[in-house]
Amino acid sequence: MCIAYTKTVTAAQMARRALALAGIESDIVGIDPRLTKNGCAYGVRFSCGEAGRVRRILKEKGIAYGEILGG
Amino acid sequence: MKYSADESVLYLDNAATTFPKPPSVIYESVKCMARYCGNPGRGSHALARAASEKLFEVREKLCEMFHAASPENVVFTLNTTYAVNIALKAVCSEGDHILISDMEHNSVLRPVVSLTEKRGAAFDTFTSVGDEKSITDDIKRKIRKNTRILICQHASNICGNVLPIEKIGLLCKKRGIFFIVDAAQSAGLYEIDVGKMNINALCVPSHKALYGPQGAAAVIFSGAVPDSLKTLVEGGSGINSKDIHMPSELPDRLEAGTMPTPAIAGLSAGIDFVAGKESELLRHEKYLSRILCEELSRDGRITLYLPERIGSVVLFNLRGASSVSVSEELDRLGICTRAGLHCAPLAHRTLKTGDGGAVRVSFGAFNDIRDVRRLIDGIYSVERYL
Repeated sequence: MCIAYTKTVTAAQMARRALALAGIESDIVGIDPRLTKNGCAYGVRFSCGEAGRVRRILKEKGIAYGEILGG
Repeated sequence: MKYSADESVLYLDNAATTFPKPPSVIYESVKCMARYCGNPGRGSHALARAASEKLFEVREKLCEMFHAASPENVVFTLNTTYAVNIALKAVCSEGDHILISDMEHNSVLRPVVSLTEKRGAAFDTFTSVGDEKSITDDIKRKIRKNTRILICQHASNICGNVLPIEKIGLLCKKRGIFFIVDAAQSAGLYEIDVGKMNINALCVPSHKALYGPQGAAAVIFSGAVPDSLKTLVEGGSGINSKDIHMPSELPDRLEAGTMPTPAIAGLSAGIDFVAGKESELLRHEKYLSRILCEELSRDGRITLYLPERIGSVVLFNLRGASSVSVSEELDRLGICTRAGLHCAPLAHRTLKTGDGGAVRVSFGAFNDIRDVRRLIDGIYSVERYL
């Protein structure tokens, strides 16, 4: 599974909503603080096979995300 | 639409806080505390996620109701005063000039005065009682080169006066002035579109005409948010924990500490209660106000303030009696009104009610014509021995 790391839990919720509208299943997860620069963070977890579409959808919707982890 | 917690008490202080609350609001707050009240945005276990989801749901509802650009622009606060303080102090810089109306509540006046003392700001008041042109003309006269913020109420908390927000917003947009609206008395009764009305920040309470619980409110930014909003309060945000500063992203930048999830959950049901019915609710409250004003205007001992501006609120004085004594006597009859200055001495000065203020009657969704008749009988009864 891959995780798009978002800056806030609200951004993660917006991402999940946008992905759901596009038919992509995802859930909100906490990110291991060792993987981030500033500690606690949230993200949306989804199938890595959808990474390309996820990048495109988040960009289209203007939802800021740091990077896509995993895969 | 009649619902009352206690038939012996007639509650007519809805401008302070609406009462009773719809059963759905009570149910939703209790359900939150009983079933899913984790700490929103703090951890990713089931109850934290459920609480976060409820907050997000309400951000979306407020965003839709007031036509904001994104749920991220909805910042929760504890009450409208906090919302006003957060919005004002986020954007006010050293030496800024601020314009406020001459009807403002202390929730606006006091933070503005504080900014004059702490950030070297200056402020002027503009007239808010009159036709639209006289109001906007006065604003134009008062604008200076360094006027950066205009903050005003939408509807008065002491009478039926309503400001021409759309016209003021257009004027602010043309002059590059950040426009903050205190919608404490109007959110849930008047149609508000932050984009169409060029409102940069809208401050709304849960517990008034949105019929939610006390303890929650929001600042809703329209979308045009300045890059570096100054924070009013700093603390835990649930993210970026290693950073000693608040996150830069909304809403987290302005939401330090745990948000009041049970109150916000109740607000969700409150929004459902009023959504799409705003004009019907306003018409109902105006009808009650009109009946009351028509009756009281026949009494030579009673002075009504701005009775021609019919809204949800009626303000009056009984000649020869203090507002406090009238309200106390009405209370003895089981009728809740509010006397004095209503935290709005500036507005009372504008209306020339005198040092003792006046008696305020404010209607809500659950009042009806029988309540008006009982109040009128109560006032006449009080009048006989005061």
